[in-house]
Amino acid sequence: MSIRHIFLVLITVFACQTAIAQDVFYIKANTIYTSTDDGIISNGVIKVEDGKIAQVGTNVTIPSGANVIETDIVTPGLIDSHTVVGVNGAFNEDADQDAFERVDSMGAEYRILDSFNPYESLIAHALKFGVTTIHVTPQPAAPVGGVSAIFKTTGHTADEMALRSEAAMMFNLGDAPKAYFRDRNGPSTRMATASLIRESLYKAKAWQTEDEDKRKMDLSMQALAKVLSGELDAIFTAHREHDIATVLRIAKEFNIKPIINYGTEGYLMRDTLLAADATVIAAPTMQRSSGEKQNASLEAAKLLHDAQVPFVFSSGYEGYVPKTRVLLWEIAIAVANGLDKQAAIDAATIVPAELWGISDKVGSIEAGKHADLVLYQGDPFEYTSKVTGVYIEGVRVSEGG
Amino acid sequence: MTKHIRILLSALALVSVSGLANANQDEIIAITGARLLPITSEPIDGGTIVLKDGKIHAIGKDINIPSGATVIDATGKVIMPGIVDTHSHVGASGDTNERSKKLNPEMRLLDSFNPADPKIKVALAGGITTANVMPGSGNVVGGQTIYIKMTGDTVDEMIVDGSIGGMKFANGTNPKGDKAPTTRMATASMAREALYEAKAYLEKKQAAAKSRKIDPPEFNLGHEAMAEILEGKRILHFHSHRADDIVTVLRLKKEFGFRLVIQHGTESYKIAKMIAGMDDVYVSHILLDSHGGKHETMELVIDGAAKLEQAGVKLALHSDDGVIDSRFLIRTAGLAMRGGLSRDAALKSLTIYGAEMLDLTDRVGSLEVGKDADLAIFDGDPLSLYSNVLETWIEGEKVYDRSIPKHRLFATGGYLIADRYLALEEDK
Repeated sequence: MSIRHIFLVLITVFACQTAIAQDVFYIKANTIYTSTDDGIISNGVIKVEDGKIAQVGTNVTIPSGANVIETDIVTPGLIDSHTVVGVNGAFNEDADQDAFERVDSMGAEYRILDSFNPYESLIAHALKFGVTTIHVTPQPAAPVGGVSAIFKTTGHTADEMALRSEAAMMFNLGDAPKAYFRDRNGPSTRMATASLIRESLYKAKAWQTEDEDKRKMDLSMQALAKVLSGELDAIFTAHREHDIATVLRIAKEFNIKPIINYGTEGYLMRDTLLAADATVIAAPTMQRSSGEKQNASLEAAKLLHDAQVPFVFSSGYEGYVPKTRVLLWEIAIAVANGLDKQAAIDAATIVPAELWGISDKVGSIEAGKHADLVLYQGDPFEYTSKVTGVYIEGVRVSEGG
Repeated sequence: MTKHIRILLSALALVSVSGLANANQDEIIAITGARLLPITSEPIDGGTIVLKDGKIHAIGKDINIPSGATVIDATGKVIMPGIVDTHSHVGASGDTNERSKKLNPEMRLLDSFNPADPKIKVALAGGITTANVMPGSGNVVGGQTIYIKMTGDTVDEMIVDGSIGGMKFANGTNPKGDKAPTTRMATASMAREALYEAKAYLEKKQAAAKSRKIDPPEFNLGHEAMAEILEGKRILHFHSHRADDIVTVLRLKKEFGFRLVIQHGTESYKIAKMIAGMDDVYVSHILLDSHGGKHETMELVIDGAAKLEQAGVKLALHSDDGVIDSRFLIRTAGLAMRGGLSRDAALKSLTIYGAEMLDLTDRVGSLEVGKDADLAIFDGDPLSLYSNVLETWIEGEKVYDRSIPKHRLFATGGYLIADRYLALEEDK
């Protein structure tokens, strides 16, 4: 047996141990939120086969003797569009904080993939409350933070968990870059932060046009060039209205699709966001309303939705206690403050799946997609309800909470 | 202050008070038709609560409404006592941890408190009417806490009449630093020594009171306050997370016999039986959305409160504002129920148990005749996501009213840009 054969056998054994997906099973539910044009299906059945959704509807035939799981409510697995779980650990000590290279304000070449720890306890915490896909970013701190990635919330290695190992370049504006770099080499003003971002993109533009054989290998330029070519998305952290305006200015200058991270005051400039074709990674609804977040509103998601500004939900970045927020509960508060329930579920399922280019695999309950499903007892958003099970690719990976 | 400015200020104060309050002191108000949650007795559907002189004058199903009373129909609404937050830093943010020394029993949070902090109104929008506002946990002895009502122009008028407040101690991670203490044993030792010194001081004082031959000790402001702990007049609020740290606190309690509220008590569920077995020990618990942020909160669990209840420990839930925004304190009681806490204990954890922890049961924490007319009025079950605080009343006066657009912004956010925010709604 060659080494290659041994390797294959080992991989097979490993796969069998981890993915004990039963080949075929059925989930029978009172209510299925599909996040498709079918909307909500009452008294429906989902047939799961080989980790994928095979059928969904009210007339799915369940053969006798089949494995049937009965439940109250099902939604697609939730997608958290901005989190640092897996890279900033729960202990919150230097040893487990890997989302921010704090001596470098310009980190385009960094890839969050290389910081990601699949065994970090906060990933399991997110999973328990229904999050099956996470967009993990560098910490919102450096003007150019590095490249994010999108992972499933179960698995043993970053590579096997990644849906996109390079997703978006993260740019950060506002107070945070100033606070972290004031005493280093700057930026210490908003204009310097914008300038650093702008300059790096111009450099990449020039690098892009150089002869491929002659130009110097430059990981940073390479990554930024991918932003310019559209191969990588770009996300820009901005809370205040005028910082959001700066993002739109830069995005227009380089013909980049603006994805605003947080966009705390975005609700004050909905028409502008709409005109700029911007998407907002909405601030966690319960984010602390101080400093540049002082005008945070629990109604922000509702106001964006009413104005037809596309938005997705996120749990965001937390630096102390709690070390992460729970996506489901952030959505819940938005619903309690006027956001339509279906729109809320969409903003944590199909809308982010389309935004991040992973809607062929996840984001809705429809045939052919991964069987990433969340089961609930009672209204999914109510405090006292419970998540009663979470499936990723047909495997029951959490008992909920 | 010149006389003119003073008159102007009083006039402004009057305007602002009359803007909020809809009752004068002599007015009798009867709120009818609501579901009343008295907390210390069974809920009353379609009940009436009569308020007079800032107190609850009568409460029940079929009670006579005094003639001349202003009657407010609250059919379909739910009324509970104003929420008691047993651990808050509202109004004192940035002035809670004195860094120059580690033992500060003489310091009073009173002198850090800013009644103009808009977060106080945010707390009102969350139904909170009483709070224990404390120094931070950066010191072994943080200072004297204050028990306040959430309305007033000066801190002095906000203090619950006659209350002296508590004393804040802390152990575990936070008081440790570059200077002593740098270990848990030093933290405990410093706390113990401070208590022994106060004990000696008190004994000298008592001896001097009995005999003219004995000189009283030299006056010491810190010892005076610490002595009140030893006399049982001042409750000790001890910040402590890990089970072993809490056991250290209980050890100190056995040594000195003080009345104790364990603040946070993240791992108190692990030693719930031990806590339940001791007299005068409460847990003022915090339920955060995740574990972590530091070592000692790694084992925070959603069913911790339920385990405390099952062991027979009286617990409150607190905001630690701004760790949890005051508006979301009530939400944590809902989450504790998700973790198995009974509905009864969830409501008590927001009200009467908190009142016990602040020694204020004669004033707040339940809807009972003779207690302060502090109310939180909801449009549904207070423990549901979908319910809102409609009105908050303190001592017979309406101090928050969600139907007033500018008030509602304290619930939703956007109050600092009220005119712009409200214009957004007009756009629609």
